[in-house]
This record gives sequence, structure tokens and C-alpha cells, in this order.
Amino acid sequence: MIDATLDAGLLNVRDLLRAFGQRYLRPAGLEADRSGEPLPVDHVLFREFAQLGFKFGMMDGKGDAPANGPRRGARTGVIAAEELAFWDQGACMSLPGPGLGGAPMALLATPEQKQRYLKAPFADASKPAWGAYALTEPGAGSDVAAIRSTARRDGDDWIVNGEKMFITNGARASWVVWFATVDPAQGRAGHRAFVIERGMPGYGATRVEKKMGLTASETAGLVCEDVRVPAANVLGNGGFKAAMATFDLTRPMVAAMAVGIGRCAWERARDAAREAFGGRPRATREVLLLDRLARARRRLDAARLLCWRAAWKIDLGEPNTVEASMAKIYAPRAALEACTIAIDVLGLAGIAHDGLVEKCLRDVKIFDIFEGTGEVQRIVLARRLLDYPAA
Amino acid sequence: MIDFSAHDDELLLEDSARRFADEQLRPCERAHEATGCFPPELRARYEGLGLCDVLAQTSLAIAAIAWERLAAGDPAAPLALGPPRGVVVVVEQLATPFEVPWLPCARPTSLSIVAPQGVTRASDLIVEPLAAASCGLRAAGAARVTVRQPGKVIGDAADAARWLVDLRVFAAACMLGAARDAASYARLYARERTAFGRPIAHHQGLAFELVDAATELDAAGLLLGLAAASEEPAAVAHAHALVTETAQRVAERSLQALGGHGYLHDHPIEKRMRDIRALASLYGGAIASERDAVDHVLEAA
Repeated sequence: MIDATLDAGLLNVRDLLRAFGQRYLRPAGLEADRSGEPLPVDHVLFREFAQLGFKFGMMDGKGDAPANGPRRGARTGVIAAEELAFWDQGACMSLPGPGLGGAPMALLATPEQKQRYLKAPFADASKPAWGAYALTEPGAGSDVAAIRSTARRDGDDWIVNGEKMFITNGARASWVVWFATVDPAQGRAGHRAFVIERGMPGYGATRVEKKMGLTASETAGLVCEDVRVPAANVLGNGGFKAAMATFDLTRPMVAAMAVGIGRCAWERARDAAREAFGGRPRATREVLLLDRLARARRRLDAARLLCWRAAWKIDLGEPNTVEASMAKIYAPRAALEACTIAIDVLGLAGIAHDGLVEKCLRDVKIFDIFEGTGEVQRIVLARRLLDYPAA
Repeated sequence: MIDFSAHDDELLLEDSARRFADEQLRPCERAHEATGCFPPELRARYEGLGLCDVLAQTSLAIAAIAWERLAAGDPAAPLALGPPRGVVVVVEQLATPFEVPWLPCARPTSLSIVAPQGVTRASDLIVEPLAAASCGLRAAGAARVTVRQPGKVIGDAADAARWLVDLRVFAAACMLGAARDAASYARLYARERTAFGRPIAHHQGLAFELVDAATELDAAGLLLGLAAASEEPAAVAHAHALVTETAQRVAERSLQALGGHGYLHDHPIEKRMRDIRALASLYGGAIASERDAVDHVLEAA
């Protein structure tokens, strides 16, 4: 029987983030959206967040288990993701921390590497720092196996060359987990993950993208030109598999973020509807709007349960590829539907920026694309459910 | 705390329902459909398993799982063998006489009527057998019934709401089980059937349809599971509406996956589609649950 209650610990996390989101994330996100630029690295939001002491480096479910208690990190992660995204997803993605780079670190890093990349850079709360995850390239998005970044041995070091695209917090990151191939002839088996550090000669950002939404979040292009990387910066051995396993951990959270944005638009529309036509017999047009709102609501609620189920399986230590992909297929579409109908409820005001819901629509569209497009999720599922052949 | 585990009692009931569906229902579903009834010996075995009045023994959420498994074997079975609350119609307002043009029951001697203001049990009925086969649920029997008197009041408005919760969860669970069965049948078929040199499941257009069906069924199923556990009328109305929409779409898409074969009685899918269509009309159908959901939107948290 499904238990969807949040215990005191989860309620605390949610309430804490709710207060933080309302006070800081929402204004910061709107500010960035108006200016058209990502939040600057010295934005007050980042210092405030550091003082909260909430960490995202617990997606493997190990980070916060009470002594002898069941793991709960992934469930905490989806609750936190939805709540933060409700207030502003762009600002949320800009928050300091290891970001998506945290997951391959958790999976592959040695204790020394964890100390160096997951602990040390984030120890001083007054100095915000970021990690990043660099897999996608200009010519290889969904077809991850086709990445063309190379790494070749040179003594004990590696020489990394290549170009990356769509890297969240890429230009401001202290380090980035960079996937490259050590031998293109080996295909996926030749992939390795390298930690490239800011300041390494030959490494840098090429551009910061202008996007439809998520403006507060920096999306960068990166380049490595003959970057010398010491052996101590190589993460484990599992390049491609690690990149994929990362997705099983992050997809439930990413899907939960979409739910959060959809809920934001939905609640705004409900409030507007209450004000406009609550407490009296309704015109046909109003009934139609309410019906569409109701439909969007049940799909959002169902999407949330898909996210929670996928996260719960992580906490159990069970494979969750199917559940994670289902959540990632369903939630972005459900959230987009909620944003779309929310605009209809607000009427022409829904198209104006201060109506908020048009921003939700622009922000949420990317969720059917990043972290594996909806189409890629369907291929992942088809492999599991239909023996669909690997490409 | 967020938890999707099944408990032991749940697994036990689920397993016996599943076995009964696979061994007793599925192999004979065409015969039962043709005769318009389930034979007495099958009813006896069903009663022996304790599945008859499953709601009396357990919670609504767990009963829903049993109904879902049974409906996977024959969508008419839970309705014919032991529906919660017996033979019921749901009406917008209670004004007799009125006619029920199709009731999935061969010879009802009494009929419970759920109206917004309460529940009555009518026994002053004119029952006429239907000459031609109905769209679906034929194994449950079918009659046209005229209710001449509302009968004795057996519940107030609160009871009516409570009945509606049980009935909607029941119907939704049956639709979900039937649709899941259709989807899994289509998946198996699509992996075996080849066209253009490979299994049709390995053509992306069809593969995406099949995995979308699995995703949508899980989404609707989770919403139903949570609503059934909450027993909350608005949550149940939402879940019933989503399951009804999803199950009908999945059944049709599953049939489509089999191409012309899906249209034939050789495969169970066309029957799943018809049965789901009939289940979707019970107890006011999705239109009534959608309306209740609409009424709740402005109050929703």
C-alpha cells in the first residue's frame, strides 16, 4: 500500500526550503529573467544558501542515513528538488555545490578525490563554489557514445582535448567532470571521466548561452586544448557506465523539478480562478477552464508519485532505471500541460511577464530535453521492456 | 514516510487473485462471454478463496489490488462474482420511475441507487433481458431495468459519498487490470511478430507507443493506489478520471499494435477494449468523476 506521507525530517527540509525559496529564489529568478543574464557569482542568494547548510551531495542515499536507519537521501532529494523548483528552477540550478558533477564523484571518486572535490571547495560557506558535469558536446547530445573529446597518455598525465556544450555552471565551476575517450576504436568502453580544474592551462569557457528560460542558471560552452591532467584527476574506470548510472540517480530529481514548476503555475492559476469566479455559479467557459486545471492537477500528482517511487528504489539500493525513465518521460509533459492551461486561466495576463506562468512555461520546456530527452528515455525503457536493440 | 512496499497480506491476496485469474478466468473468458455467465462451480471456487467479499476483510487499497489482478484475467469477473456494494446504479437525482438501459447483471432482484442525497435499495423493478450482446462485460449478464419505486432508504448523503469512493476505486481497478493485461499482451506479441526484417517492437514508432502505455499505466496506477489508501472522495474522483482515460487509450493502442490480428477474437485484446469501454460507463462514468474533480479545484491545496 502506498504511503505518501512525509515524516518530520522531510517536512523540516521542505519547510526550510520553502522559506528560503520564497525569500531568495523567487526574487533572484525573476531578476535574472528580466535582465537576461545568469545570476552573478557574488549574488547574495549564494551566501544565504551556504548559511542554510543544506547539501545536495546525498543523491546516492548514503549521505544522511541516521545510524542504523534506512537510507532516505534520494527521497529527501526529490522533495527538495520539487520545492526549490517551485520557487525558481533557474536560481536553484545556479546554487553553489557540486551540481550534477556530484553524482559521478559519489560513484567513482576515491576518498582522497572526494575530500579534494566534494569537501574542500565547499568548506568555506562565505565563498560559494561550483562543480559541473560535462558530457554533451556540440556534435553529441543524445548520442552520448559519440563524444569526440579525447584523452591520451603522456607519462603519468593525460592530455585532454575537446569541446563541451550545455554545461550548467560550466564557466564558474572550480572543477568539471569531463568525459573523454581514451581510444575511439573502443567505443563506449574507451570512455573515462576526468576532473578538469579551473585554471588548468588550455581549459576555459567559450560562451554563455542565451536561452528560452532558466535564465538565472549559467549554461556554458567549454573547451580543452591540450590540457594536461594528472593521473590523480582520473575518476575510477567506468566512463560510459558511470555517465549512465549518474542519470538513474538524477532523473527522479530532475523530473521532480518539473513537477515543482508545474505546481507553481498551477497554484497561480488556481488562485486567479478563485478570485475571478469562486463562490458563484460558473459560466461554461469557466467550467472548461476548471476541468483543464483538474486534468493538469491529476497528471502532476501522478508524476510526483512516479518521481517518489524512482527515488524510493534508490534508497532501497535497488535498480531504478525503468522507474527513473518513466518519471522523466511523464513529469515534463505533465508540467508543461499545467503551465499551458495556467496561461489560459490567466487570460492575456498570462502572457505578460509578471503573471509568472509564462516564465514557468519557458523554464519547464527544457525538462523534456536535458538529462536525456523524452525520446532517449523511451529508448531506455524499450531496451528494458521490449529487448529493443542497443544502437 | 514515503514508501511503495507491498506488505505480506497484500502480496498474499495479490498472488491468489493472480493465480485465480490465470488458471480459472483467462482460459475460459471467451466461453463465459458467449454464455453470458460464470458457471456455479467457478463461483464456488471463487468464494472458497475468500475473494468474494474482499472489501469486508481488508482495506480498500488492498482490495483494489485484488480486483485489478482478477480483471486482468477477465474484466467482467470482479463485477459478476462479487462487486463491492452489490448491484448499483449511480444517478444524478432520484426521481422514479426511471430506466437503466443497460445493467451488467442478468436477473437483479434488487438494485441499490446512489444519488447525491443518499442511498436507497429498490426492489420494485421491471427486468427485461437484453436480446443482443452488449458492447462489453457480457459474462456478467445484462438487463434493461425499470425502477418503479426508489425503495427503502439505506444511507444518507455521507453514505452515498462513501459508496461512490468504493465504486469508483472498484471500477478503476478493473479498468487498470484489464488495460495492463492488454498492454503486456501487446508487448509480447510485438516482440515475436516480425515485419521489415525485425520484431515490430523494434520499430521506434511502435516501441514508443508501447513504452508510453507502460508509463501512463504506472502513473495512473500510482494515483489510484494513493487515492484508494486515502479513501478521500476528491482524490478518488481524480484517480478514477485519470485511470478511465488512460485505460481506454492504452487498450485501443494495444489493439493497434497487433494490426488486423488485434481485431479478431483469436486474441483477447479486442475484448479488453470492449470491456474497458463498458467498465468506463459504470457508476456515472468519468464524466461524473471529472465533474467532482472540477468542483474540488478551487478548494484544492
